[in-house]
Amino acid sequence: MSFTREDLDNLSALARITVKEEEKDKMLADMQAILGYVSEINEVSGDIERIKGTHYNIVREDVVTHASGSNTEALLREAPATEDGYVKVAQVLK
Amino acid sequence: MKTLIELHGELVSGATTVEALVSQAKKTITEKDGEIHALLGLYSDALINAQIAHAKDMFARGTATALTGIPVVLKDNIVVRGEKATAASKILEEYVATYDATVVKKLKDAGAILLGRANMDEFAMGGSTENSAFGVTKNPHDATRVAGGSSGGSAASVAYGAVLIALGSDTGGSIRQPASFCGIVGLKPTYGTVSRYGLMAMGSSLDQIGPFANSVEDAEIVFNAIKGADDLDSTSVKNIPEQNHTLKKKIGVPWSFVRREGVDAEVLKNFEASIEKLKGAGYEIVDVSLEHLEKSLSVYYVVVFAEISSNLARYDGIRYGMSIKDESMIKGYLKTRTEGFGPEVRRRILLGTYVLSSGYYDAYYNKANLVREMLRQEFEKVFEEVDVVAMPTSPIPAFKIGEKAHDPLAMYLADIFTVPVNIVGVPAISIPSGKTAENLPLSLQLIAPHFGESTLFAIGKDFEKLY
Repeated sequence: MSFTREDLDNLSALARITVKEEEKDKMLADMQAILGYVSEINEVSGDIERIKGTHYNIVREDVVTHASGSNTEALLREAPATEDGYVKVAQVLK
Repeated sequence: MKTLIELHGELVSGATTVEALVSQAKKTITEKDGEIHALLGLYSDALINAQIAHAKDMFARGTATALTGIPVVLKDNIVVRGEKATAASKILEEYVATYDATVVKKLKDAGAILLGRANMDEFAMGGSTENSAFGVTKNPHDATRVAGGSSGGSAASVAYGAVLIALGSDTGGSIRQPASFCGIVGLKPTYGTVSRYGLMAMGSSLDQIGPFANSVEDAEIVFNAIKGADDLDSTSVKNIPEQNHTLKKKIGVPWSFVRREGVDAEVLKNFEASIEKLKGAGYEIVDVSLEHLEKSLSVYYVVVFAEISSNLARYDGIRYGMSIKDESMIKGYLKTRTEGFGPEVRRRILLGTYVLSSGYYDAYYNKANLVREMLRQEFEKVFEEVDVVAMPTSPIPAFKIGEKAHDPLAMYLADIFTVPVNIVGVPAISIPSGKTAENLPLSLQLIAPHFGESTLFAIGKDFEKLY
């Protein structure tokens, strides 16, 4: 499995992280070295399907546990932009 | 250095006061933190004063615990309501937390004095605290060297005497390794025993909060104060099984794994001497072998990259934290994350995105989980025979600042002895075991089965007496 400059560009779009031109060579070399190292796990063989069964999700009841508005002020204080009690973002749909 | 029990006695008798302890801690920080940079800041006077009043009230009512009135430092990825929590990242530089972590609530209830925020590698990614956006923490034993990481600030603040205890988080060794580099005790509890509610998530299947202290006994006191089931953390264990306290007095050592390339000669010599001392104290030493131990680092990094890429998606500059505006929301999102995250965080998010992407998922993530389960079963089998498995905490003593900063893979390889513990979810403790010729601290690491903290404390206290 080779990791290319094109892979890096694709990933940065997916991860919403821009890799600056001047950082690309170093980032690519580091990622190639790291992926080269961790690829050793491909040497291990075994029944993946059997293992998958041991992990499961835990979810709580989907119910409101706070009094309405009890955290609104503190949470909105941390938002970069607000308007009328809402978080304000740049226009998404034109 | 006084123990928590001794200090508690002095507080009860009136030989010292809560105010005196807090002023002494602040004075030490003023004198020494300029050089060491263990702390990113102190909590507000309002919080500290309220805690002092609460602690005094507990003494007056006779409800004081061993932690009442004791100053504590928290790694800056643990949130305290109304106080800054940055994870040493620019993206959270001005963030003020809106709630208390469960461990914070427990420490407050116990009457502890939360004093300040400890430096760390950004979002706990690193082993040297060099990845902090706010400057490296220096090792109190040699200021040209790193304090370890990622909880380097927590470790250094205890080591230079600002506080007796601190909390950190350990995802792949981030409590044990800095404890080792700084010459103190560090405990990584069993996964699920200490609530992670209010700990900024890095690798959710690996992260665990734990204490730093000067002695095993002090670490035990803190662990007992912060552990316990919590409805706010779905991975918190509801019914912790009772431990069988009859020790077999047998310690397993994976010799072929320990005597590997890259292990410093003094580390190995010190480890062999520690094992000899334990033999002298009546422990039987058994050579153990775990087939997939050699694959630990690869398993760990695949899993942690994957979980990081998922967990750090929340830092988007929309709801809180740094926000760089641009013509569209997506462009602003890209700029915020590019400018807000340091190089190691960006690298790990990209690697995680890669190992989880279609076509590579089976080869990396599923394979890692397979090996993870195999290793868990191998540890289970070894623990049928021995009480604990012993290894050095780190293959090298504290290294020079800047020595490994340019080579992320070399930095990862130094985690070889700590990551297996997190993969398997078992508890482990790092205990000082002497020093190198250059006077750098070294440590022994003891690993127990799930929920075997009491075994670690019992053998750890025996080991402490040998030094």
